[in-house]
Amino acid sequence: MGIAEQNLVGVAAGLASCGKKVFATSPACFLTARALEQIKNDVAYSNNPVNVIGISAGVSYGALGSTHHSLHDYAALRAINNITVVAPADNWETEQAIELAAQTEEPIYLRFGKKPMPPLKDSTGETFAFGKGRVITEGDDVLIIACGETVYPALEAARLLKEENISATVVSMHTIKPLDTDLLAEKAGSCKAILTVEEHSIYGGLGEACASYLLQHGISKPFKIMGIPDEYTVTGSQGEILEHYGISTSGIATAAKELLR
Amino acid sequence: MDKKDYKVYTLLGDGEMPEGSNWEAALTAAHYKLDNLCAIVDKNSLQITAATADVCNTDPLDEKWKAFGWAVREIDGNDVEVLKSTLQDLPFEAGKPSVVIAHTTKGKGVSYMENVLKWHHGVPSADEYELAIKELDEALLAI
Ligand SMILES: [Mg+2]
Repeated sequence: MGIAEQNLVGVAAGLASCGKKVFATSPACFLTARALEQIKNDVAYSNNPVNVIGISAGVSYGALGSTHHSLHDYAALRAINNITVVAPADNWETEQAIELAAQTEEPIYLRFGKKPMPPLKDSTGETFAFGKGRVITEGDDVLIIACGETVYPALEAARLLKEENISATVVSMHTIKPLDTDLLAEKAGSCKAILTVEEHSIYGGLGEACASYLLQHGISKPFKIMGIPDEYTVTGSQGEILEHYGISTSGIATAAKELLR
Repeated sequence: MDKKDYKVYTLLGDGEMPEGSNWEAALTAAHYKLDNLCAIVDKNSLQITAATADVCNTDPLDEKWKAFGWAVREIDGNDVEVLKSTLQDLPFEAGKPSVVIAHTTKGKGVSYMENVLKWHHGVPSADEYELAIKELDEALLAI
């Protein structure tokens, strides 16, 4: 298709309307900005079961800079009816999400990073479903809800906190929409503070989705959204950018301790 | 609008020629007779994954630009003297935006990079870097 995202999504929607199984893949930054109207009208509102695949999302492209970062995609797609938004965190979730997407006849956005991620835990016997968050580790003090490549540093932060006798629940909330509100309410109810972590703007993503649900359902705890703030994003490698904004093992652990203080 | 007399240049890759917004802009520039505008297409016939003609063929590119109302020149884009003299001829036609289709060789001047796809975004090793700099310095001295 070439460098032509709007055409890519339009053609994908046309093929899907003719019964083909379609995966439309492009860097997340371009796909969900340039082709947003085609995703909205041709895929979601027209209910064409296209698998929209955004690769190298968040700040994966690092030093290529803001043009190549996708920090808006959860926000933009959450506001569009009839599209599921998924960001897997490890190989198992990624494999499961792709297979499930292929079998599911509805509009789906899968958001992938670029960096090889270690497995979050032994997945033997686990089942994967869109809209069902995955509890990685359990603890009573702080609830850390993350998605995509930020789940692993969240899990590492939980290990760090354990050394200081702070126990954490870490949830891989791979489906940002529809949000697993049952799991959110259950885990939020039994912790002292809640931290959300995402490789996305702090506006309109996972954190605000969680905050909105909790506040409207009378669950109020010390709460912090970790993500990229509303500013010109610093330039550097993915690791350097995330570190700068505290989206790292130590940064997440520090934020958790501050919330519990 | 302000009738200022400066020129505006825009550099395009051949790989991005299928992007529709380019052609929307091309229409507008011709409609408003922007003869102070010059586009240069770096036509090295390669893009990140394959040959541009195999990904989405945009040839004949000159005829497309002509049909959109632009004055077209095709040159050897690696010949800097030719490029300079071409740009001194702007506008190629009064009342039309100009486009230079610059036929280039990706990786020009570095023996192991020329026309090799992986150097679209490959990162040279320390040895490869040394060799590239040596070849480019030698070529510079020969001018
Ligand atoms: Mg090219």
